[in-house]
Amino acid sequence: MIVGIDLGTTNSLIGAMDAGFPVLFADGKGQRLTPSIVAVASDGRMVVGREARGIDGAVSSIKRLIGTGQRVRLGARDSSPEEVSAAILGHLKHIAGHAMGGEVREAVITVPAYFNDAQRAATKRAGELAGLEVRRLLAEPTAAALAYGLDKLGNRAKVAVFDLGGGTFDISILELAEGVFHVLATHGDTKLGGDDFDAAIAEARGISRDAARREKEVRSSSDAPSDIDAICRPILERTRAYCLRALADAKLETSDLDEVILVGGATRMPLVRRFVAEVFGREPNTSQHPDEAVALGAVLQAGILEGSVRNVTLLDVTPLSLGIETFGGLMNVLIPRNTTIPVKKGEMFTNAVAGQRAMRITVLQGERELARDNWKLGEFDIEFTPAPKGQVRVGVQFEIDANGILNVLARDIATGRDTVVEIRSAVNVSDDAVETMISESVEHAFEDMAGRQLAEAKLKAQEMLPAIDAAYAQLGERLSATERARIDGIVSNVKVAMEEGNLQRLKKLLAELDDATQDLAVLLLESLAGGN
Amino acid sequence: MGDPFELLGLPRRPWLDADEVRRAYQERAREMHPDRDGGDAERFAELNAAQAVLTGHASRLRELLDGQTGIPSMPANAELGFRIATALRRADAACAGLPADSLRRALALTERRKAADEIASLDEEIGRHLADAEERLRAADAGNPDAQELAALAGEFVFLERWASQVRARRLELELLGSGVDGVLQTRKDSQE
Repeated sequence: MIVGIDLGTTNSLIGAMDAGFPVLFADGKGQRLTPSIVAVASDGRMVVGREARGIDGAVSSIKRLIGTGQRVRLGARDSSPEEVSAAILGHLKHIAGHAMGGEVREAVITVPAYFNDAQRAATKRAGELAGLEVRRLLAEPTAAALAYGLDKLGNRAKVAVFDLGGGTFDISILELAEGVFHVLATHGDTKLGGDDFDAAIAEARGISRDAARREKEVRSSSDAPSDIDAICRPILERTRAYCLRALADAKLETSDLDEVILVGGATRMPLVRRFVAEVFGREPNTSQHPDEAVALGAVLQAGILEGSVRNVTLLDVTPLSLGIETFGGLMNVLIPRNTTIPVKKGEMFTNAVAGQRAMRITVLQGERELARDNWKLGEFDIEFTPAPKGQVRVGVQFEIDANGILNVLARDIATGRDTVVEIRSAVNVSDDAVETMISESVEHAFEDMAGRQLAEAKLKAQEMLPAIDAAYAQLGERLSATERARIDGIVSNVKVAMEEGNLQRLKKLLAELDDATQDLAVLLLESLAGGN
Repeated sequence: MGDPFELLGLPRRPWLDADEVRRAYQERAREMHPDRDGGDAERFAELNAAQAVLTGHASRLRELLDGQTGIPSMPANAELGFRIATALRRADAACAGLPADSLRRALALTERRKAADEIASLDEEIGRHLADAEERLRAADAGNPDAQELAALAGEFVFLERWASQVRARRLELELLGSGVDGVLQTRKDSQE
């Protein structure tokens, strides 16, 4: 028996096929939804779900960190996001084992469609840590489409699945064609969800995130627009471009769609429903249970793999282009985004100089032209047997499997032997970590603190002064003469302070300058908003 | 890989309708998908590759020419290519993070708006070129095209398809960042009230 699992940012669910129907299991208290929270109780026991709520140091929203290489504090030790996720999976496994009366060994686990290779691989590892053989990673919106379309197998329709969960957003465009669920395009943001609404409300109101969530839920129960909407709207607005992009990739217009299906807890908000109606020009379909549709889809995919669900075929895609870095630091795309998986693409490499022993290949995921702007997936070396220039050839096969995970095979053309290539994964440091690294290196470069501060202040001045000239040039007469005289006065003082190397004075003047140019900045922005 | 036309059971023609390719693909995917009884991962991966080849105009024409006739490796419209390269660089610079002080922030937002307008108009321009090239491809398909004519068309599509994808990606990114201006003004208004 294969179970289906929705491993969510906020909540998780598990189920299996039972007598031809997908069933979701409840825990001892009758709850199907398990909060994705892990904590260490006072007696040292690891606890998951409702029991973990409120315990000091409880870890939540771990899905946001998976595949990043960051670690979190759990009880007395640092844990990887995989370990924390494994604890949740272990708990779900226990619930299923209890309901089914036997040990659970195999699973289908859902992931956001826009998860990259590292996030997918880490989710699979989490499953393995929990003692599960992960038979398939399934994209969440695809799972939801399966739940939606199962009783309409005879039809042909084009649908969009708008999936806004606690921490992630996906938009997928599918064609349902007589049992074939064909994903045409997908887009998303793995760091955008209901959590962000809570954070924004908490900040605007000066309350805790939990209080913000409760307020959001209370206010969202009525259709009347509230000030909560004004806070959440800018975040929601970010999904618009993704939706339009997915449609463009699928070469469809909104009018070509037969349904827009909502899933994910955040789509309960009337604001989200109104927004989707506005973007797609039609009322969204709310027939699917926002929390359960993805889990039901995972169970159905388990049924397909077991053979208990027949006449259904899922055709999913890879969300990001895969390529390698070429000469000049450019990305050469081998497998474009939205290519149906599993897919293979061969590439031939040859020695560039006589006697060359190896060639380093950097594998990238993303849509940017410059290699460094894309996400570095890892690198590997191709071994050459020594030979004259251009004489050895090694074929490399890049395969994205049905889980959306990359495997690389190298084939020596002379011997015809294939070897699986081990990719050294790039340490995926977070933005914060990069920032720390940069500030640390600056710290070491300037032993003496005052010297460093003066250099920084001078640099800032050197950037501010040309910016003022540029703003003058753009605004011309729209700035009053008094304003201008005031700014010019500070500018000449700044120049003197730079000459003198007087740190205190320079800092004070720069702050003054920043203040004096506020109106200038607003005038610039207003001229933009006015459309000139 | 086998012959993609044969794998999908489609005629070897310069023009194939995207819908036609997709339906043929869905039919065969139903039988070959590795999750199905009698499915085959190897053949399915080939089928996926075949579908990708036949869907893109450039790759389909390249397959049809079968390496017999060289496809131009320089864009026919070099002037457009230069403009796109410049605009892409400007757009990437405009996507970078914003400075902390308000004046330079405002200037950066101005640059962003300019880059967004430029990219949007290039996107439309490429769209017109693509539509025009597609019309000529259809005409060639209806007539009796020689290899040279198809190779020239393939060369055009190589660049147009790549440019369209690159410009679209930047357009999306700039649109995502675009709400920044209104956000800053709104925040300021709120804090003044």
